[in-house]
Amino acid sequence: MTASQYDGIVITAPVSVPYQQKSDTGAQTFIGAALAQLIKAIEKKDDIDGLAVSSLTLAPDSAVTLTEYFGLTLRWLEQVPLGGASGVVAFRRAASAIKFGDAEIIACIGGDTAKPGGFREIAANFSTFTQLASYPYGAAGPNGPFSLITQHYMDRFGATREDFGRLCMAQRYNAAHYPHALFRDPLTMDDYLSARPIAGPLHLYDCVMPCAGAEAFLVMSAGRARRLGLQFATVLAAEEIYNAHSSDEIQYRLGHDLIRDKLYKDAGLGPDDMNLVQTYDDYPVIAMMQLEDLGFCEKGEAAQLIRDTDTRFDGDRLPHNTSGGQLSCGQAGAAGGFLGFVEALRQVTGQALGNQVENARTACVSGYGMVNYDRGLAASAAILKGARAS
Amino acid sequence: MTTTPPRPQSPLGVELAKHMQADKLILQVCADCGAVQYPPRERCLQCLGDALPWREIENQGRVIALSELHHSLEPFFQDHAPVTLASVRLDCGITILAFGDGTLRLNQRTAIGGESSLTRFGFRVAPLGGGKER
Repeated sequence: MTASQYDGIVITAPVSVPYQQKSDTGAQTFIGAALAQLIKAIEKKDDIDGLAVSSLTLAPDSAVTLTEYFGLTLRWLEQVPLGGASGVVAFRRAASAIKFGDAEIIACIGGDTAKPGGFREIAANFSTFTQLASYPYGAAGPNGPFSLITQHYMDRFGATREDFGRLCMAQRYNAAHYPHALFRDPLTMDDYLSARPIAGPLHLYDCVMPCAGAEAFLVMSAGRARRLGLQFATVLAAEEIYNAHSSDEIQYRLGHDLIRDKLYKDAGLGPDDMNLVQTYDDYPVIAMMQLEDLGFCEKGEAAQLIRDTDTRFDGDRLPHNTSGGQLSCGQAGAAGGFLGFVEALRQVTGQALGNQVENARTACVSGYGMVNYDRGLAASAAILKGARAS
Repeated sequence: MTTTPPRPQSPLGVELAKHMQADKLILQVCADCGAVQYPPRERCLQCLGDALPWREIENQGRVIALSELHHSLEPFFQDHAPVTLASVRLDCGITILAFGDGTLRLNQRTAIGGESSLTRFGFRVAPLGGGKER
């Protein structure tokens, strides 16, 4: 096997700051709680010399104001404003910096607050195109474009609400075994199908609950992690892509199909070698598209895959969104873009919080996000491997 | 209390509103390369030129997606729910999100018009041929 681009770099210290549905405090509360836990893992605050942060609710603060706020002197700083693609991308930025000698221990944190009215504020002013050409048309936030994307997918490939329901139910089962999920009560198909309508084919359980919280991990050299006695994973491959398939009339390919060949080639592994997969599940259809575009089934066949496969964490073939995903945990803003990455890191290092996939060594994590007008613009994916003794 | 629809406040948003008319479609067209622009912008999406005069363009296209919005972040739309959201692909290859109504069907040929008043803002799927079926 060829040496990975990220050889010698590891990820460690998976941190999830428990989510809450509303908060009157700033994003700093949650980002700071994550930072405190990361520091606890390495014992010395001053050893952190780099920070990559993702947040939608940090303004008027920014990555640099956080250095003074948290009393950090850093040699490297990055803000990754990529929503659901942020976790993988934060890793890529941090790994490059460490390879380049710019920093030694980098904290990667996605965190947001959820003040009353805050979600409306974000949705209304997300971007220039949002303000001019999508928000004025019903002000449904992301539900607007994703209702169109979901309906198109259903019409094109024959997926049904029951198929989305199966995915949501499996994730809810996982959430019942994950302590930080906001929604842990079982979800029946009847609950799912009879939920109140939100937008087109989207009903209540197809939509994530905006909330507050944070997710985080550390990036450092393997040698450093060993000296600190930390359990760690390596990243065999990681890719990102933006504004892919822009000529598709309605988005049905998110871009992962364009990065997967290099991803699996760099990893020296294929989809069948993955012990688990974490997709970005802002809506069930988006999770299904990622399963297709990352080669877990053919294009248009994710519904069949979900019908035929037990995707629960203790199922036998393809554990998927093992913490319950955002559909059960809630969407803590940009932390949603870290949720799968952090959960995968816990899984492949045997540190899962009650939902451990048996013998999990390898994981595929994918990200997606940033709806500017009628589609998401950012996609990312990574392959993780636990460094436990075999 | 009467609610009003949200409308973009930026200079580009004001320009956009100014050019909205019921029976025609007026969008930015690049003076250098001729590319039609939407959503509005300050640089051409194709050649990055900055001369983007507003011009009437052919307003016909096809309905490529439809949905009924039952939930809104704005009181105005919540008062008027459900709102029909339509995605229309113009023949020139750009996509416009617009208000529709319950009679629309997927792949239907249609036209786009617009309106900007105190109680209405935005593009709307308009009858083909300015009100006359053909």
